[in-house]
Amino acid sequence: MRKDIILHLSALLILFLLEILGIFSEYHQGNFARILVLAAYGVGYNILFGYTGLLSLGHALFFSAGLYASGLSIYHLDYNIEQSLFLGICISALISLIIGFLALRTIGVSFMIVTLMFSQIAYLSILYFGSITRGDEGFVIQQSSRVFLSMDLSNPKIRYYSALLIFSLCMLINLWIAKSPFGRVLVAIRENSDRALMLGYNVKLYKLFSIIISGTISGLAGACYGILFGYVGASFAAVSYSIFPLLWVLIGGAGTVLGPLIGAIFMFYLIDYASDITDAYMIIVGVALLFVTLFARRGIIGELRFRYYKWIS
Amino acid sequence: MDILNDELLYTENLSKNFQGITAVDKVNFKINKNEIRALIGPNGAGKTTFVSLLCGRIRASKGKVFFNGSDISNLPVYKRISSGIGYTFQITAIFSNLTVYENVALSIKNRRDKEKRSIIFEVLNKVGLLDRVSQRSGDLSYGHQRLLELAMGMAQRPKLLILDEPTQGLSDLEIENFKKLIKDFSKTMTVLLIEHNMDVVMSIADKITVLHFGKIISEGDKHSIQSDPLVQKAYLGDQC
Repeated sequence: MRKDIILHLSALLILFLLEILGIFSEYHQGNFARILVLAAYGVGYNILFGYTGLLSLGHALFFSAGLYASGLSIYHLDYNIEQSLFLGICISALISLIIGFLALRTIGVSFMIVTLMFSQIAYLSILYFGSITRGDEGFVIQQSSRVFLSMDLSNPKIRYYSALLIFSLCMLINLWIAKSPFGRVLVAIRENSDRALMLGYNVKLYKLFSIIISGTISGLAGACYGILFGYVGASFAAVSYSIFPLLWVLIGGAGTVLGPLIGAIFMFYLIDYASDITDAYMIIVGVALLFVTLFARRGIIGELRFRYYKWIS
Repeated sequence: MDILNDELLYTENLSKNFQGITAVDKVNFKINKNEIRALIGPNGAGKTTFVSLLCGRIRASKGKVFFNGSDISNLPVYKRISSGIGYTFQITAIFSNLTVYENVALSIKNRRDKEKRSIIFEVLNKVGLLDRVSQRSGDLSYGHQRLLELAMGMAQRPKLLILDEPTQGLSDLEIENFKKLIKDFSKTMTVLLIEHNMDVVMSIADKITVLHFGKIISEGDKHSIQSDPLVQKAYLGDQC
């Protein structure tokens, strides 16, 4: 247990040292700030998919709920960062509760389809109510609005540390869940929900809690993304943003705490480098993913845990 | 009055229809505290459906279930289980990616860590899996997985433990061990056993209920069941 906690804290320390020692170039610093916020989104997704075994194809809904709730409140209502962040978290939690309540009436493939449908409704609503949301083109959050406790969040250094703080918070929540009796029940539900039910667990309620936690973390990541990078757009609500966290989690390792981070780094740089080589970069990405699937079908961290380090959460 | 006090579970006209097919037909069943009751019947007799109705996995079409003096007919599964009904599946159902310890730990709720640990080691010791406490349960042999499932049922400390064909696929030696365990359990809990192995049924059951086409056709001790012509015709055949 101690080794496990040390490993995760070390990962956060490395991310901190990379910046404070000036090892990052400006380019990688920007990339990593983005990756950390997206990895926080992946952590949210992992709680539902990796721990509870519920495959959602509509998580972009929760990410964009946070993104738009905080972004629109700044854009239209002149909310400050604290207020908009709070609103983003509350709205995504509320939407998670409603969607969870409705979607949990289904299981398996139906659950995937229902979550996808809700997400598409949100995406199309963003486009339809373009007078408020600025539709496809989205809107920019002015630099003057992105100030928190006198800190300019558009400053690359501050942005990186903020992203690291958000990711650390989400990762530690994930670690706590993984080690808690609540997390054990989620894993039991993933492994065999019928058995969990017959041990006296209210499986539906646990699944609902899992969706709320997952959706709220995803919404927090969405709200932070808008605030840190100053842009809110409909593309974040599109189906691709529901598929990305699934890929990050699968590549990094479903049901592992560090999996979403490793997966997000891998995918981000794979696309980045492949697009330097050819315009048809998705071919390279596809082949690379095929190899990962063939040789590490539990994901990178998942495979390490399975083969060598059973203590990794 | 004494008989009433001894009753742990009873049903009143419990029925289940599946789109016109009656799987369980107006069953009035009683089981007393600390009894080992075997529920037997040919394939398709409705045994698993009946016990699923008892623990709420399937909703009854008609009838009521009373457990420990209360009507539990409208309670959801998890509440019935929490009220003291344990159930082990016909097909082994464990959490394969979790260790033996974690599997049993999940069966114990609302206990302090120290107490929980002591229960886990006690039940694992009883079923003979103490030396495998840290092993991934999916790596256990089939017989050991059945024992683990039994340990999970025991650790719940239920008032009634329903075992659905627990000896299926076990070796003769494992079955002998299993019989001893069930006998041991009945000192502290009631056991309702669905079983096809007549040797197991005849050697450990205090009372036997025979189900055929969803109805109870006979009930009594092993001698009365063996000599009942209805049972002979429906199920036992040459074995009696």
